[in-house]
Amino acid sequence: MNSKRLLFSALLVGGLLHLPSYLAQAQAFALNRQGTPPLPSSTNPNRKAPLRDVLNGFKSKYGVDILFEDRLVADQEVLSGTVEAGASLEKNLGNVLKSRGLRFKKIKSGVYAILSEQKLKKTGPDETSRATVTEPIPAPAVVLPPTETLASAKPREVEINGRVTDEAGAGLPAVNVAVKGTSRGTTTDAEGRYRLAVPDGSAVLVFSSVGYEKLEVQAGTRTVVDVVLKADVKSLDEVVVVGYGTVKKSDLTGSVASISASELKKTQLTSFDQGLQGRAPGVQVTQSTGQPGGGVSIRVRGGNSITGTNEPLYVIDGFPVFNDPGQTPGVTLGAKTNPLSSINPNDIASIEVLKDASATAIYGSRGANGVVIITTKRGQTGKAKIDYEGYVASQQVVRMIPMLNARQYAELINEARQNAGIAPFFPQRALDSLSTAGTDWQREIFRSAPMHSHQLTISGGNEQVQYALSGNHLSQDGIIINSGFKRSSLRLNLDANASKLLKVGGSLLFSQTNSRIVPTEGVGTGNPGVIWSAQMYSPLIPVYNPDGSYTYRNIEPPIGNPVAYANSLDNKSLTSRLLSSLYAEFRLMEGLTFKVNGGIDYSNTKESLYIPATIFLGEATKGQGTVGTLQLQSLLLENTLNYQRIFNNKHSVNALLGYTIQNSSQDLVRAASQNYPTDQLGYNDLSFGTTYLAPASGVRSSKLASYLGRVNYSLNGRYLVTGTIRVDGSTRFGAGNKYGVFPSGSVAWRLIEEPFMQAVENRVSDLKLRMSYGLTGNQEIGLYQSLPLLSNFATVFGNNLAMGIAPSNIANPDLKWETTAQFDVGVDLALWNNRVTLTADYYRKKTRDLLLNITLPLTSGYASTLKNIGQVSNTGWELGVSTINVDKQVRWTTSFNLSGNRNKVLSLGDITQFLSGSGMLQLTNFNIVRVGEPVGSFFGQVNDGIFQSQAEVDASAQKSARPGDRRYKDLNNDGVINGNDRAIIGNAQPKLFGGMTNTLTYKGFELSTFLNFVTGNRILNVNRFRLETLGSGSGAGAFPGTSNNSRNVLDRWTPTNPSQTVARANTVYPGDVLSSYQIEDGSFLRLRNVSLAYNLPTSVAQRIGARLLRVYVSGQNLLTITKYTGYDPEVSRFGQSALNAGIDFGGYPLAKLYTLGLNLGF
Amino acid sequence: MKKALSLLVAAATLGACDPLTETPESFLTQDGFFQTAQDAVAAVNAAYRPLNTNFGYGLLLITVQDLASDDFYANVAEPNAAVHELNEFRPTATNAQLLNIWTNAYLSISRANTVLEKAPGIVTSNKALVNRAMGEAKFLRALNLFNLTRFFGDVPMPLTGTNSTEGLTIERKPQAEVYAQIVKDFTEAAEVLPVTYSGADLGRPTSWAARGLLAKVYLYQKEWAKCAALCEAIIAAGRFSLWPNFEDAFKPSTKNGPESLYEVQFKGPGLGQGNPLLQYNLPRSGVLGSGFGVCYPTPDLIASFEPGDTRPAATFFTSFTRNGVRVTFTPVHIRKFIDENAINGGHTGDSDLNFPVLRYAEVLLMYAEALNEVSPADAKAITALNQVRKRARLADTPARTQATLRTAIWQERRSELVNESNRYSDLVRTGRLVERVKAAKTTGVPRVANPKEANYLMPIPQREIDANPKLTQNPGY
Repeated sequence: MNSKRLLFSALLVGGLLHLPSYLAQAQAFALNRQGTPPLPSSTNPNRKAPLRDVLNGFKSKYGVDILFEDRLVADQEVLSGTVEAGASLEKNLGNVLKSRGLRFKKIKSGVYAILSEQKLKKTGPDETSRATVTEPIPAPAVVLPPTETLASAKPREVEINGRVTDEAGAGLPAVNVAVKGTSRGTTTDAEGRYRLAVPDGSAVLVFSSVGYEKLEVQAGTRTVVDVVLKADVKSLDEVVVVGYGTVKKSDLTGSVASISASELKKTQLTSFDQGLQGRAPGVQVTQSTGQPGGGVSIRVRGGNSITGTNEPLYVIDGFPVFNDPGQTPGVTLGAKTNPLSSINPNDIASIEVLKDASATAIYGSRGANGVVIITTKRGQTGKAKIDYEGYVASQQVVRMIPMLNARQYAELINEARQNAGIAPFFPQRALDSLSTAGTDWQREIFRSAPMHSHQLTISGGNEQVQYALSGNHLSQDGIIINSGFKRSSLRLNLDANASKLLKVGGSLLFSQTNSRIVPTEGVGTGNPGVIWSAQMYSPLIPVYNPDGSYTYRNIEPPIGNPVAYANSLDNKSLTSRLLSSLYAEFRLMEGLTFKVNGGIDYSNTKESLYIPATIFLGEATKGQGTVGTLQLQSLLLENTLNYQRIFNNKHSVNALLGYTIQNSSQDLVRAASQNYPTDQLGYNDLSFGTTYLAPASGVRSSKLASYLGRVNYSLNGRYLVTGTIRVDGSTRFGAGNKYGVFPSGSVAWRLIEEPFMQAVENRVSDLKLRMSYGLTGNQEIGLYQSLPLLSNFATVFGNNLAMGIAPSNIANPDLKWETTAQFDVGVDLALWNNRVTLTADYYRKKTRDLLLNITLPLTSGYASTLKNIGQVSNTGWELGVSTINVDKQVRWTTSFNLSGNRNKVLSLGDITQFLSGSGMLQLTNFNIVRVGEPVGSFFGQVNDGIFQSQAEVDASAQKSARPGDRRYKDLNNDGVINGNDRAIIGNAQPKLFGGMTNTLTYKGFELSTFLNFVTGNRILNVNRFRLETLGSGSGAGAFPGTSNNSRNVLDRWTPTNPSQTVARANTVYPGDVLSSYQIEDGSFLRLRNVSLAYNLPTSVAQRIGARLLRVYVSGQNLLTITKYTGYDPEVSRFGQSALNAGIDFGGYPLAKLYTLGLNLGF
Repeated sequence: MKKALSLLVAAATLGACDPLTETPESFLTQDGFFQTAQDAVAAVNAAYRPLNTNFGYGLLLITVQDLASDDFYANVAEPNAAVHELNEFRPTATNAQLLNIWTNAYLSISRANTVLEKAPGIVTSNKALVNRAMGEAKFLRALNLFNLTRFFGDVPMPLTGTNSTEGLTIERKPQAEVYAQIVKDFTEAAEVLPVTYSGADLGRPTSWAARGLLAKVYLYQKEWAKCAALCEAIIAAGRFSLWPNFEDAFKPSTKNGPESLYEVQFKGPGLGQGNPLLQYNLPRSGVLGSGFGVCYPTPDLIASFEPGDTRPAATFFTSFTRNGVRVTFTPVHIRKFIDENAINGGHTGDSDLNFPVLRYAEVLLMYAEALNEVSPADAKAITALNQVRKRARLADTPARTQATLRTAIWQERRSELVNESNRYSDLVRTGRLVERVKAAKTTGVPRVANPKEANYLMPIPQREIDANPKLTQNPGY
C-alpha cells in the first residue's frame, strides 16, 4: 500500500507517467507486499530473515506504518537475535538498520520512513550532484529515457540551491528534488539543503517526499529556491477515528466516511454539520432554516424512527453529545438555534461518520442513527505555527416570491367582488391612479447582509508537550432585517508525555453564541411571522406613516406590519458552552494501556423576548417581557483498557474493554410579565410589567451506564474480523427493561493482499470486501416516559388559582429503546495507483420496537401513548468515487457521491396507519404513516384541476361548486368529497441525493466547485394557501382588504381564461383544503460553492516573513436548479421531525454568499 | 505503576453501583398521590380545567351552538374553514371545532373518572371533603356528557379511569342510556354537594347547580313533570333572584351573583385563566383592541326582539367608548359579554368574564316551558315567563294557550339566552332547526345556509373513528 504510494511519487519524479511502465514498476516492488514470514525467533538467534519481512513484521506488531523503498532493503538480511521482543519499535528499528547505511525517521505518530543514512553525512556539492546521477529512483526493470549526467548537460545550465523545510520550518532530509520532464534530480541533505543543475529559465522543480504533498515550483531565473512541503494528510490518512480509538483504514471492517478539514473549509459554515452536506455517501443533510445559526437535520442511511429522533449521535473529541434543538428555555419565537453552532468548524481536523452496525454498535443504544465523530486539531511536535484565517462575505436572498403589485391586487379584489355580485371597490379611476408598484414588502424585510470570521491558531510542541490554541470570532447578519448570529470561541488542546508510562492531555472549549432571531414562520392562524406577513400584507399600505412611525396593521387579514415586527421585536438567544475533557493513559505493560477520560459538557442558554406594545403582536399583552435560562450539564467518565498484540507474526489482535458512565441533567427557569408602562427596559426588568405571568421551573436528569468491548483480529493483514458489544443501562427505560445489549460483527477480506491479485496489480491498487451485521439502539424517547406522571392543570375558583393535578400520561413500565438491525456489504476499490478510488456499500436496516405515539381514542382522556411497536426498514446503497483526472501541471480531481435509500413502514402494531400534523393554519392530519409506505407521506385530496362549466359541476361530487372552483377527485366514488377521498399525495423523502466536488489546481491557483443535489422528494408548500387566497374576504360592504397574492394568480380562472391550475377570484375562502395542488417537487441541483484560491509563492510570502499566504474568493449557493416555487427547496418547518418533514411554512430562506478570504501563516 | 493501578481501580469503580431508577424531580408520580382529601380536591380541580379554556366554555361550547343556528352568521373574512362549515350547515367529520369540543369534554370526563376511582381509597378524617370532590366529579361528568350528547347523539360513555391502553376502544351508547347516566350523576351530585360556597371555593357547583342542570336534562328528555318539579323546588328555595339590571348577570364585577346557579370560572388577565370569548366577538378591525369578529348576529335575531325590550342594547352594539374614545363599527356585533377593563387594557383575549352555564332566568323559562306541557297555559308558567319579561322592561305576555305560550317561551329563551350555549340545541330539541335556519340564513347574510335533517346531529370526529373502529358515523356524514 504505502510502497505503492512511494512508487507513485517515484514515477512522478521520473516523469514516467504513462501506463505501460506501471506494470514493470509494480512487479519490481511486489515483493514488499508478499506474505509476511514470522519474525525471527529469539530461540534461534542465528536464523536469518529478509530485512523487508522484518520491517513488515514490525508494522503489524507495533500497529504502525513503515514506509520504505524496496531498493533500500533489497537483499539485506537480519539475524533473529537482532530483534528484541520486548523492546520499543524505535529500539528495534535502530537495531535492524544499524550499520546498513539506513536510518529511520518518524514522520508522524504511527508512521515511520526508512531512509538512506548517506544523506545524513555531510556531503559536498559534488557528491550530491553525483548522487543525482546515480539515484533517480528508478526501478531495475523500467526502461528509462537516456540518463543524463552532469557531464552531458547542455551548456546553458544554471545551478540552483535551496532548502526544503516542513511547515514548522525544520529542514527535511531525503526529499527528492527532480527537474520535471527529465530524469535529473537529487535529494536533500540532513538540513534539507540541496543543489542541482537545471536547464536555464524553463525548469520546473518537483519536490517529493514520503508523507508530504508533492510540490512543483517554476525555478525561473532564481538560483535559490527554498520551499516548504506540506504534510500530506491524505497519504498519511491511514488512520480512521472510530469509537473509543482509531483504526488503520486498511484494517477497517465497517462503513465509515471521512471528511477532512480542507473539504469543510471550502464552504463558509456557521456550524460544522452544514459541512457534511453532499460530502459523504449515505449522509443526507437538510438545512431546515436559513436563520443564521439555525438548525440542520441529518439522516445517516435514512430514518429509522418515526416519532423518535433520527439525528445521529455526535462524539466531539470523545465526548458523546446528543444534538437536541428542542432543549431550549422555550422563550424565543421562531427558529431554534442549532446547539452544534457553538462548536467552531475551523477547529475541526476531521469528521468521521460511522454508518454501519459494525462501526456504531460500540455506541449501543445511541448508535442506531449513525455516529458523527468530530476530532479537533491537536498540536504537532515542531516550531510554533501561527495561523490567521479570515473572511468577509456578503449575503443576499436567493430569490423573492413575485407578488401582485398594487394595481393587480386591486383588480383581483374587484374581480372577486364581481364574481360574488358585489360592486367593485376600486373604480377605474382609482385603478389607473394606483402606481404599478405599491409597497414591495419582501424588499422591505430582506437586505444585503455582511458576515465575517476571524480565526487565530497557534500550535506546536516538543516531544514532551504538544499544544494547539485557537480563538475565533464569527459575526453573521441575517438577510432579514434585525436577524443575526455571533460566535466567539476559544479552544486549547494539550497532550503531554508525563513519563514513559503515562500520557495525559485534554481539550478545553469555551464558546459563546448570540442569536438575534426574527420569527418568519406562522404559528397556527393568529401569529404570522415576518415572511408570512410580508407576503400577505397589502401593497396599498406604506411601511411608514407620514410622521415616520410604522404603519400599524393590515386590516384584512389582521396582521401587523412585518417591518415593525422584525425591527421592534427583541428576540435573543445567548448560549455559553464549556466542553472539556481530560485524559490519562497508562501503559501497563507492552501492548496494554489503560485510559481514563473524564469530561463535562456544560451549557447555559439564556433566551429573552420582548414584544413591545407598539406593534400589533404586542397589542393584547401591552408589552410582554419573557426571560428564561436552561442549564444543560453532561458529565462523562470513561475507563478503557486497550490491548494490542501480534502473535506468531500472523495474528494481530486489538482488544478494547470499557466501562463508561454519563450523567445528564437540565435545569430550567422562566419568568414573564405583561403590561409595561414603557417599552424602554424591555425584558431587562420584568418587574416593570404590571401583570406577572406564571413562572416555570424544572429539573430533569438521566443516566447511562455502559459496558463495552471490541476485538479486532487480523490474519496476515488479509482476513479481518471485528466484534463489538455494548451493554447500555439507562434510567429512561421502563423498570422491566433497564439494560439493552447491542452486539455487532464484521469481516473483511483484503483481496489485494492475495497472491492471485498480482496479475492485475498494475491496474488494481486496492481491493477490499467488507460485510457486517449488528444491532444498535435509539434511546431518545424523552425522560420519565415510562412512569405514571401527574401534571398541574390549574383552574380558578373565587378569583384565585386552584391547583389541579391529573395524570398526564399512561404509564408503560415496558418502555425501551428502539432496536435497529443492520446488514452491510461493501467494497473498497482503488485503481491505477489510486487514480480512481471507489467505495460502494449496500445496506439493509430493520428497526423494531419503534417508539410510537399510538393514537388513542380521545374518549380515554389521552390523545396518544408511547409504546414499543412497529417496524421500519431502510434499504439503500451508497457510492463514493474519487478520481485524479489530470495530474500534470494542471491537476484536476473529482470526488462524487451518490446515495439512494428506500424507507418503508413494515408494521405499526395493531393499526395499519395513523395521521399526524397540526399547528399550521387550519390544517390537521396532513401527514400519514401507513404500512407499506415510507414515513413522511403527505395526506390529502387529489387535485383534479378547475371546473370549467356548470355541466362539469353537475356531473361531479361537488354539487355546490361553481365553474372556476377547484375540483377534487372523488376517490371512493360516493358522490361526496370528504375525508374519505384523501390519499397519499407525496413523500418528503428523496430517492437519490449526493454531491460532487471538482478541484482544479495550477501552480498556486486552486479552483473548486461543489454541487449537491436531491431528487424525488416532495414539499408541502403551505405558503400557497395564503399566496392564492384569490380575493377571499374582500366581499364585505366596506372593503376590509385581503391577503396579497403571488403573481401566480394572474393565471386565475375566468370564463375567458380556462385555467386548469388557479381557481377563480372569490370573496369566499374555500377553506384550507390540503390537496396535491400544494405538493411540489422538491428536487434540486445546487451549485453550493465555487471558490478560487491563490497560494502566493513562498518567496512572496517570505517577504513579509510568512510561511503561507493564501487568498480566495468564493460564491455560495449561486445557482439552484429546481421546480420548487417557494424561496428554497431546503426547508423544514418542523426541523428534524420525520413525521412532518419537508414542509414550508414561511421558513427563513437560504442566502447566497460572496466571500473574500485570507489565510496567513507564520 | 502501583499508583497507576490504584487510580485505575478507583476510576473503574466510580459510580458503578448507582442504580438506574428514574427519579423525576419536577414531576409528580401517581405513587404517593391520592393520599389526602386535598389530593382529591386537586384531582377534581384538574377536571374543571377543560371547562375554562377556549375548547370549553371559553369559546367553542358557545360559538358552535350559535354558528350552527339562526342566531349568528360567520364573517366571510374568517379563514377558519371549520367556522364556515358550521355556519353553512355542512360540517364534516374533520371539523376541527367539533373535534376540539369532543376532545375537551372527554378529557374532563377522564379526570373526573380518575377521581371517582381513586378517591374512595383515601383514608382521611375529612371524608366530607372527599365526598364533595366525588360529587363535583359526578357533576362534571354529567355536564360533559350532556354537552356531548346534545351535539353527537349516541356517544361513548367511559365511566372508569384510564390506567392502561387496554380496553380503550368503546362503543357509542344509545342517547337514552347516556341520559340515564347523566340523570344518575346529577342526582348523586345534588345529594353530596353543599348548597353554597365561600372564599376560595366560590364558583364550585352547588347542589342547586346540580338540580338546575338536572332540570335542564329533563327538559331535553321532555320529562316535563320532573323538570317542572325540580324548577319549582329551586324557585321555592328562594335562594336565587334576577338581577334588576340584565347586564349585571354577565359583568366581571358581579360574578357568581344571586342569579347564578352555575358559572364557569375565569380570571384574567395574566393567569392563563382568562376568557377568550370577548376577543372572538370584538370587531376584526381592531378598533376595540384585538378582535376576531368571527361571527355576527343575524338580522333575523335582531329583528326578533320585541319593541321596548331593553336586552338588545345589552346584547348588541355598533359603537363603544374605549379609553374615552367613541368608536363605531359595522355590522352589528355581539356585546353581551363585555369586560371594559380588558378592552381598555388591551387584553381582550384574556378577559375576566365568567360564563353562566345556568342562570335563574333560564330556570324560570324551563319551569314555564315544562309546566306548560304538563298543565297547558298554567298561570304559574305565565308568571315565571313574565318575571323574565319584566326584567327586560316588557309587558306581560298575552299568550294564553298552550301553543302560543310555548311559542312565547321559545321566543323568550332566544331573546334572553343569546350567546349562552343554547341555540342550536334548543332548535334541535324543539324540532325547528331546518325551518328556523332557512328563514334566518337566506337573506341579509353573505353565505347561505342549507340545513338538512342530518344536521340534527353533528358528525362524529373522523380522528376518533380512525382511532376507534367501534365507532359509527352519524347518518348523512
